[in-house]
Amino acid sequence: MRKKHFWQIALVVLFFLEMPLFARAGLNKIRYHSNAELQSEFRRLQNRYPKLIHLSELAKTRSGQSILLVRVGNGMPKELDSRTGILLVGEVEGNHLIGSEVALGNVRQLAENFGKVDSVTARLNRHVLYVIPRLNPEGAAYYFKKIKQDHPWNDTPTDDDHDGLIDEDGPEDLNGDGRITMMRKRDPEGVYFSDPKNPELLRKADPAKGETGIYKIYVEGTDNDGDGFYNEDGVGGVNIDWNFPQEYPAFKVGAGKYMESEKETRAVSEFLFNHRNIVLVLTYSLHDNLVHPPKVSQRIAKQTGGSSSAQRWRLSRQPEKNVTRDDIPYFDRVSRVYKKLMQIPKGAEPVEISDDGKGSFYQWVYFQYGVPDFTTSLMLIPKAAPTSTKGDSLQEKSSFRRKPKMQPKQAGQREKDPLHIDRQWLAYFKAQGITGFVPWKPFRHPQLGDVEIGGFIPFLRTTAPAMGIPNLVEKQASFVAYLMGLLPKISVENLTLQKKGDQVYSLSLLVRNTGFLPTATAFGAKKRLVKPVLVKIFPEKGELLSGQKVVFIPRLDGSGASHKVEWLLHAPAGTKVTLKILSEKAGLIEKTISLKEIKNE
Amino acid sequence: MNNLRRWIFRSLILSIGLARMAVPGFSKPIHLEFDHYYDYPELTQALKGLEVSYPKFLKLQSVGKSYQGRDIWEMTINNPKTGPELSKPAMYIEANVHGNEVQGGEVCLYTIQFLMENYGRNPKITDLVDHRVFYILPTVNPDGRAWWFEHPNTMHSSRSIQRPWDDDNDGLFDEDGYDDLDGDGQILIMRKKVPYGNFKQDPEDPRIMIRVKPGEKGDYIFLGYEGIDNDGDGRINEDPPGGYDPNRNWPSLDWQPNYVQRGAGEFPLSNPESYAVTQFLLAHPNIAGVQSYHNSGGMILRGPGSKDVHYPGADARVYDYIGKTGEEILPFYRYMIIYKDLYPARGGFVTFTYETLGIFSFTNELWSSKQYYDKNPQKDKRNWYATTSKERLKYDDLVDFGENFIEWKPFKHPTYGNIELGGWRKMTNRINPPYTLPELCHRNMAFTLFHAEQMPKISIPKTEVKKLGENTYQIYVTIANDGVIPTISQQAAKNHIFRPDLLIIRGKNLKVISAGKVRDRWLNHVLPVKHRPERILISNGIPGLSDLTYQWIVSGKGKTVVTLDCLKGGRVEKAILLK
Repeated sequence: MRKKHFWQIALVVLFFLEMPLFARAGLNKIRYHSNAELQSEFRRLQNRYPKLIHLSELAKTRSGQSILLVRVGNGMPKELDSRTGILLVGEVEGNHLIGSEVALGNVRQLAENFGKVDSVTARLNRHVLYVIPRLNPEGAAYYFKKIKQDHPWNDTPTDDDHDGLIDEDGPEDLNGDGRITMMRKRDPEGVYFSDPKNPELLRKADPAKGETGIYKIYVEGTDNDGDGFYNEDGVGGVNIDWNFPQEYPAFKVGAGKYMESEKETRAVSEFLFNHRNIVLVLTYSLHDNLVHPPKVSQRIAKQTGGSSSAQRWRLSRQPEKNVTRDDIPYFDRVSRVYKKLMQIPKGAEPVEISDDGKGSFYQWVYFQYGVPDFTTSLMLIPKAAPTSTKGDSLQEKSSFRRKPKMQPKQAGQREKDPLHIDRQWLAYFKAQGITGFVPWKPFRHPQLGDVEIGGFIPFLRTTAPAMGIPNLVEKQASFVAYLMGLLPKISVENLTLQKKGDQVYSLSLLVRNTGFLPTATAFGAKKRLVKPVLVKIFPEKGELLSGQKVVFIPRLDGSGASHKVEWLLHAPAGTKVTLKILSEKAGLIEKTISLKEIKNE
Repeated sequence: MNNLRRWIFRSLILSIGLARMAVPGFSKPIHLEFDHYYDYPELTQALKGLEVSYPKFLKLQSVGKSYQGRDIWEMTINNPKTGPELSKPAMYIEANVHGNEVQGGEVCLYTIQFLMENYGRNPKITDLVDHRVFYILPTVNPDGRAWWFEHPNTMHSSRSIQRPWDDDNDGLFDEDGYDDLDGDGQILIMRKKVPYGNFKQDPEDPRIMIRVKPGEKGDYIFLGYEGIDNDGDGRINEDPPGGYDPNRNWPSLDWQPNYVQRGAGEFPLSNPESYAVTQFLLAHPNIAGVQSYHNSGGMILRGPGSKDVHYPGADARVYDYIGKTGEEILPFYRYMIIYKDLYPARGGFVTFTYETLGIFSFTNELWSSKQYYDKNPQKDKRNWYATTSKERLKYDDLVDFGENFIEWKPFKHPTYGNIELGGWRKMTNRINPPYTLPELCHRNMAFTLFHAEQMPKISIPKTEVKKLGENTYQIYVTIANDGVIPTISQQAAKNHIFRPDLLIIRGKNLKVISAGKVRDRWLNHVLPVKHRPERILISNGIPGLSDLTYQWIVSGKGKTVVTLDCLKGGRVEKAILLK
């Protein structure tokens, strides 16, 4: 019986991770790694590739857990920090462990391919890949506990039910199946009833439709503190992906006392601001902008219309919430490549949380650090036909901490069926012939009396079983390599020196960006989040007759876009002139010429 | 002469401090004079001297280090005989978050000394010290204070902490600041006589420059503050030390990054100073009132700092009462709302402590140069906050004997050639003349102590027991708050910022059958408490100057204890005998 169940889960993965059948041998060895195991896996990699992989500690969590930071690149850590590169964040929400595993796999595969695959070798020679495989180790630890419970938050003590007691009433596994699911109880005051289409799901009764409730629902467990609420204040915590200061959801249970209140949040923020050489970020979190890239917002479309300059100025001092029009083509392009690389089937939708990304890491990176953040949950579910009925999702009413809804984006859907997500999962599980839902079974509850226990199996919808990871890694690692190949790169061309008169020289050059991405996002350049490309001239003697000592180029498009800089100098022949071209995100060039030479480069 | 006096004074304090540290409580307490301003080392010595003078009440600690490694001092005033710190409501007082706004530090010192010298002598002060705790931080920007005192500066330079910031976006940090070219210890203004200019000298007073009218030819231009092009980039003074606004770095509800709010910093609490202070605030949940001292303009300010945030009406009324009373305590000062009456400021400290931590908080902008002439700013609506140059010069000539204005004098500038230097010393305009310091300290302290007095004062004034049957009793308990400030602000109650007040009944073999909130004692309307009747949660707290009545039905006998436990109001107990 057990064995059968095992294979059922294995089957679901095949779809989740779009893995071709029988892809690899030894699948049964593949599994998720606890915090200690993940660290030792990386240590093993470091020992194997000491020149390529460098480990350090980003920070410690409140409870003293170590957050790992990995530098990947051919060179010593200090040297790597002077290159441009990308950051990969593996896991932000505690129940999304798949991100950590794929991050680990990516690093392993890139290291294996170094010296074998030319593009990987070149990119690891020129750039740096920073990896934070697990930003929320406290949350991840819950996956490895005996009793499984979805737990996206860290362990920061919180008073979720606002009664002056901290973490005093968590759930219990009453039926001993190793999972925290739900309880339903027939109660004259109940407002839920069995959905006619999917009898295992419960729906809130709508009296206007003649529906009557018969059930009350609870999270599995007892009322430990005798306050009449069940499991309303369990251990922890704060969801790191709600704690960033971009559209911060203040006072939401689980979002922290204030913005950036958590050590994890501060650690990654500080790291980014101390490493401005990071050109883009790839985040594995329960959000997506790779399958569905951002679109031009209505507001921006209107804004460029006939509004007055005063209105535009006022708008420019408002917090921005929409991706800038000029950055959208880049998201589109990367998305197209991603979908092709991942072979995403038509109609499949990314697993996402429907919280609009408020307070999330990936939104913060674009809007407050000023570089693109590509994010994916690494998981897909199939599209199902939506029905249109009203009621509350079973997932919604559980505790003070509402479980985030997993949601595929559905274009053109008119009336939302609150159960449609649940329905989709059920239909999917059924189609695959596997158990994703524990059927309701009677149980004698010490406080509530006769109840039934059942519900969705924890983690099944946020952390797919591990067997599909190797195949996923193969594609994701090549996507990481692809991203590293997009970075901007400045070069100096057409350096021209002309003698215009006695001791008078004209000097001009073209600064060109030969990479794909611009030296800054349009948003980052406009809001001064990214420094401009600087062209500085240092003549050893003499003076500038025209031209600036420091030329600021706010943003230089990729694919060969260029900017011409000219000076007129008054200096004796033979004077050495040093030119420095610096870009935070595209490298540094230094050139010295002598005013004697007349050359065209 | 002045320096010599200060030196003597400083070494005096130092020696007294050291002597007293050797034998605490032996010699006479020190007495600080408020006839000058205290730089950071002298401030530190003064605090240490006060601590050893009043060891029973005062405890000095460092809440953390600044960017450059200076201690952020915090003085706790608590009478341990009336209970430990956290059992009493506390008033948090801080100053000098902007490096150049120094005189709040003196108000803090004055407050500590005043409370200590009058304890046991004045009954009101004795009561305050006995029933409240004070946390006083004379400077939360020690680097800024030290920088302002020790270096040539203007009255405006600089607000920042001393953490480098690339103001001109050229990849270099703090590479081109002001320079004291003539070596007089001041940063003056540079002007140059030119054939065609946009300024001219005021015909009535050539020290004053006035902008020419259309159709009029000028003969002067301004070249900014004293300085040279230190980094050779063709610009002057474009990247001075610092560049943060330490009062925009707090996680209030409206914090926004630099592109919306200048000076905000990289993220909330990214500055070491604001992070350290916040850790202190979080570790002291008994803080029930906050006061921050700035300069200048003569204002009593409260949030919101931007129009995105709305304050609940009940709290606004409490604010208005304290603020309006403040206008009477502080002549010249106006009670104002930051975003409406001053300017929008996101991520401010007092908006953080109110919006995010739920504590009533004020900022005082100390001193208005209108006070030179006793002009009532309430009447002068158009230009109520500042005096004209002419008025200030007249005052300087007649009252300060020309102490503060440095006459224009020629100077040979490496870039601009022949220019003139002149203008105000830093110790003026924003900083009040030293002879007015004691009054400024006293009146602002009086306002803050008034605020401290209004913090919750809880009690259980009445209990009533009615026998219902054998071993079964009905108990009425009335709880009251004699402060104007509620035990839980509306902001905190609405957003679940901190825990509710607790009303708990305990007794041997006591069984609580039910509990309820009495809405109307005469008509006997009782709202039942559904769960845990022995531990009643009062989610909205006890409003100011109000009482609430609760009812218990219990079975039991003998001694029973009722406890009222408020996070920001303290804790009281009352014993009841059931018979």
